Amino acid sequence: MPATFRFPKAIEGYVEQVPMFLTPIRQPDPKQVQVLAKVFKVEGEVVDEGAMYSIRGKDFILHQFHASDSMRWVSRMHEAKSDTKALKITNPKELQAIADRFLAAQKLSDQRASFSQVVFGQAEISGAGAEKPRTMNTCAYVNYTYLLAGLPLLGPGAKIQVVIGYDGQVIGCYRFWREVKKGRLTKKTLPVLDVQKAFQECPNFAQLKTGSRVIVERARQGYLTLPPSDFQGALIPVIELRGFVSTRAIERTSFIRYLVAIDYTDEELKRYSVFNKHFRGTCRVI
Amino acid sequence: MPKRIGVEWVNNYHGRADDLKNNDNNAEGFYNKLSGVKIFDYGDDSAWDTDFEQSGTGTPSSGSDTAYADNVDIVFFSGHGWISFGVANHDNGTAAPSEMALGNGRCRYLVVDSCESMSDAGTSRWKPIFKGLRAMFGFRTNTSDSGDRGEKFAKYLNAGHWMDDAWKWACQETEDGSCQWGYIHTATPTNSWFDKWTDPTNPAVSNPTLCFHSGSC
Repeated sequence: MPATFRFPKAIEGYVEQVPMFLTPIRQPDPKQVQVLAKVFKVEGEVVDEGAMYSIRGKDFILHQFHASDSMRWVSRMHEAKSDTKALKITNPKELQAIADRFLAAQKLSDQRASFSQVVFGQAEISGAGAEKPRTMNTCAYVNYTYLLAGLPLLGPGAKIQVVIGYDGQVIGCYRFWREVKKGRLTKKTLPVLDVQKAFQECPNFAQLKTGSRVIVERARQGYLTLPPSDFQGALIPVIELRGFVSTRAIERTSFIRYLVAIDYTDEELKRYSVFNKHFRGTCRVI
Repeated sequence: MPKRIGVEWVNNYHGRADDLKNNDNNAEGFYNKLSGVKIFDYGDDSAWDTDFEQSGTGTPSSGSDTAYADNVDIVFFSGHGWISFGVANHDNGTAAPSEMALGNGRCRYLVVDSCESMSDAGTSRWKPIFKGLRAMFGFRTNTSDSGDRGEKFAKYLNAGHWMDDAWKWACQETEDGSCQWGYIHTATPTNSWFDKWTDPTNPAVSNPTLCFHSGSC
């Protein structure tokens, strides 16, 4: 094999057996977005936008997705865009407390989700000519991630975010989630060496020439979740690998790859949505 | 006047980098979904760095953006970080900001769906390319090999949302919270922050000051 591979010492959270969580199909119902509208104290016509119901007002938007139990609310849209004002609250703990209170008040708190990080929204304004750009934090994104059976839910489909504007007021949030049903089924996770071998044999690396390096900086086990607009048959046990590739032509290209962590039958592959286009590129061992 | 759309994507890097899987779906999902006139869809060995570069700039100065990237209202690239291509036999295989100048032709919006396209110094790095361009969309961090972000972005654009919201929402729906989106819009003399794809006209903005925003997906 021309390229050399380097793996971290361990896969974070690796367990030999994983419980399967099914995610039953959901019946879209416009009443649900109306209930949500009451919680957020907004009014308007419910419009079916294909992947979601939405209620749109002059200064807000509310989305309720059809394929999952996911929602998004954005408020004060004009105000939030009106200027680049510096964020007044910069203490992450204070920001988290604001977000926690907001989620509780809007009935969006979830015991399966826990605080993960505060990311500051930045604005950089270029000067005229060669003047140095001016940079400031303008808002804060308070993020929460989900955990099931001790494993993190990875990908875009299970997370909560609260956006706090420059003045400390909440200006948006989303909760991406799909209700799960724990079945009796547990699956055996592939042995670590098989995971490494499967990764090395991914077609993505087949063309790398001698001297190329593939460095996996982080590997962790979890369940992969699909975008909130897509149906998903089950949460997919995966190993997430993050790292970079270095070749003579391009010094560094980063990757985030998901390796299916268990063996599936062909029938399971379809039923659990592993053939979803979001998974294309996911390497698999059969 | 109907708006024009162009996309370029790369999955096959011929060993220059690891291959990708979903950039055809990603770019073509955008191309097929977005309302407008479809002008070009070049992938793999047909996608060239010179298609994004200004004629007469860089070494070699082989740019031909007037026929491609600067001949459409919106151009979408999907591939490896910054704007890296699978073939390097037309120029050097990378469309560098120093070799690009968009908007002195028709282009108003550039989408760079690749890792770290706006990793730092967003306005400093990309300011030279704004020769009429109104906005650019990309990522501050690494991003996954998504097959459907382009289509989601196009759906929101068609629905008449502000373009930055459309990009943020498409990124939220395809990445985890550790990923950061980015976009640059013109601030003066024209503020393009409120642009919508469904707006009838989006004139070029000359000598703009720029504002770069980033946030968590």
